[in-house]
Amino acid sequence: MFKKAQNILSFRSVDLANLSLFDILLKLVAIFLILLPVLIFIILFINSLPAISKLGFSVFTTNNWDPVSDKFGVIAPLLVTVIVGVISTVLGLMISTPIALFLSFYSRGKISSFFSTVIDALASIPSVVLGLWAIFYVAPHIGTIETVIKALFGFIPFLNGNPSPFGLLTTILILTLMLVPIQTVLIKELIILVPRNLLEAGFSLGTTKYEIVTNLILPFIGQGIVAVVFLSLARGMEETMATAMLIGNRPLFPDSIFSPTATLTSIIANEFSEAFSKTYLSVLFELGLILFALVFVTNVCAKFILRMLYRRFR
Amino acid sequence: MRVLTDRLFQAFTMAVALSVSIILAFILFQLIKDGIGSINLNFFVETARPVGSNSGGFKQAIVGSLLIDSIAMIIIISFSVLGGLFLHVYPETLLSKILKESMSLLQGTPTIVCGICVYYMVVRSMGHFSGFAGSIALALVGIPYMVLASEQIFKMTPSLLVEAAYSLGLSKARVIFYVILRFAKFPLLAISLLTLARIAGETAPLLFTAFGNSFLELNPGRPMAAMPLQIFIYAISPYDEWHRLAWAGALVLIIFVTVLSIILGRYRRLGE
Repeated sequence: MFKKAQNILSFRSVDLANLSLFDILLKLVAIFLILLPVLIFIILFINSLPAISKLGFSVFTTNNWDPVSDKFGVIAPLLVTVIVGVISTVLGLMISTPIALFLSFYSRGKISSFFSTVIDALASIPSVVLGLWAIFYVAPHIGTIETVIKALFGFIPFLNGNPSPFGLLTTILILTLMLVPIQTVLIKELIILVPRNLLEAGFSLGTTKYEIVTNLILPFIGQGIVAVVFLSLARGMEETMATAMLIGNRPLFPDSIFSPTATLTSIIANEFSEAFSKTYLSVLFELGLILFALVFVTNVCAKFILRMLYRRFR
Repeated sequence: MRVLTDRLFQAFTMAVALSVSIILAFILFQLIKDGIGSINLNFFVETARPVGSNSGGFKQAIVGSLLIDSIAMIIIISFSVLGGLFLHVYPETLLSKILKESMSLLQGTPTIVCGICVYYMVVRSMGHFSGFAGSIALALVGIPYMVLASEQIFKMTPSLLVEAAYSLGLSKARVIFYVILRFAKFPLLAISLLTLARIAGETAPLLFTAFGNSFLELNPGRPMAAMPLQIFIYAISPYDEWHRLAWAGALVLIIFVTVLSIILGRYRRLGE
């Protein structure tokens, strides 16, 4: 041991012993890493300038996607992106909240670790694989489900369309499945934030777990849930592969919840390598810029809420 | 009555958890059922072929993925360890606060956006798609996770050891090399593997960078195939034979990714 220390002490190296060099290296790397997101933003902005100058605000007023005659309507994919994100998030919360409660309160030991493993495994499935599975095992049955929905709720305007295997509903269902793991993990973290003494006080009064959950836990994590909503919204909106495989790629506003349409990500994924004109390519970069801004805003909202929560409970 | 409500609620939460498990089991079962038949010698030694009697295999995608992912991992590890060290050595400075923020911003960046930016930076300047560009795009995706995770790992170094090293009169750089890095060797390996599992399934950044290739390509300066990319191309093709290959590829990919992330579950929550 002593010998080892001596070796280290007597080890002479020219540049590493010189602390300032190593420090400079660390700082350079840090600055480089800080510049990466800035660089991404600048590239997106530079490349979308031609489209912005040529089409201006008209992209937000047209519901038409015709690259040949330079007609690009961004508003439909933008709205669809948000709609898909919101619906998947809400559906996902209905599934993930019970699972998180189950893992925190109603299961112990082996059962709990088994379900945690299930959630982890679901989170680690690449979106391409999930998309592949959905193409062959979900899409064929979607038509049937949609016919049933149409028969039951056809009087609601948005639930009355022609059933199609690829479209909004298929994408929403698969995205819901993709968002469940991340939501479950986040809600579990929120439940841990609830002060233990409150829980123990509750149990000492002889309440059941159900009453604890409804009267203590849910009100307590309510604000946190908002942050979870924002985080999973961001996840849902930036999801590319599964969406591109299932949405149907028709860049117009959907007539109903069943119809094929397109999101920002699916348009970029499907048309980027086929962009034949400068304006076309530039519009795709503009879509990327809009997506970047959307996800950035949602993430910032989520972070802001989480910071407030942590400051209050830590 | 109250107890009954509690029991019902418990049953309800359990049912939801079970149904999600059943869906997962279903996915895995279908993957194995459709994929296992096509995993044979051909799958590993044949490159892609046109649809016909022998529809070829996945060799070019497997080799391409290995190359692209290893180059990406070299870039990710070198930058992330230095970035994490910076965060550990200079905590609470303005620069490290900005670095943390920008890393979480990069984490939130849609992967397809990373892809088109690398397309503009690397592919346009080289004049053609290349595996190397794919590696850079994947590095953009992987760096933020690994920077934040490695900072967490460096934080775990026992302060006793560090103080003992300083008391021997070692310089800061030597403490980093002989104490902190040595202590963090295995956790760093673990999070590197987790990052690898994360980027191995990424497809969007590769779409306009590596682009795919039907032939075996060992030169990173040329367009290259990759596993997830090949799965995507085959999945949206109209041929049954290619669908079977896509299933087999998906099975191999998912075995790799899932095994890695379940083994290293302990480190999974770092860097989120």
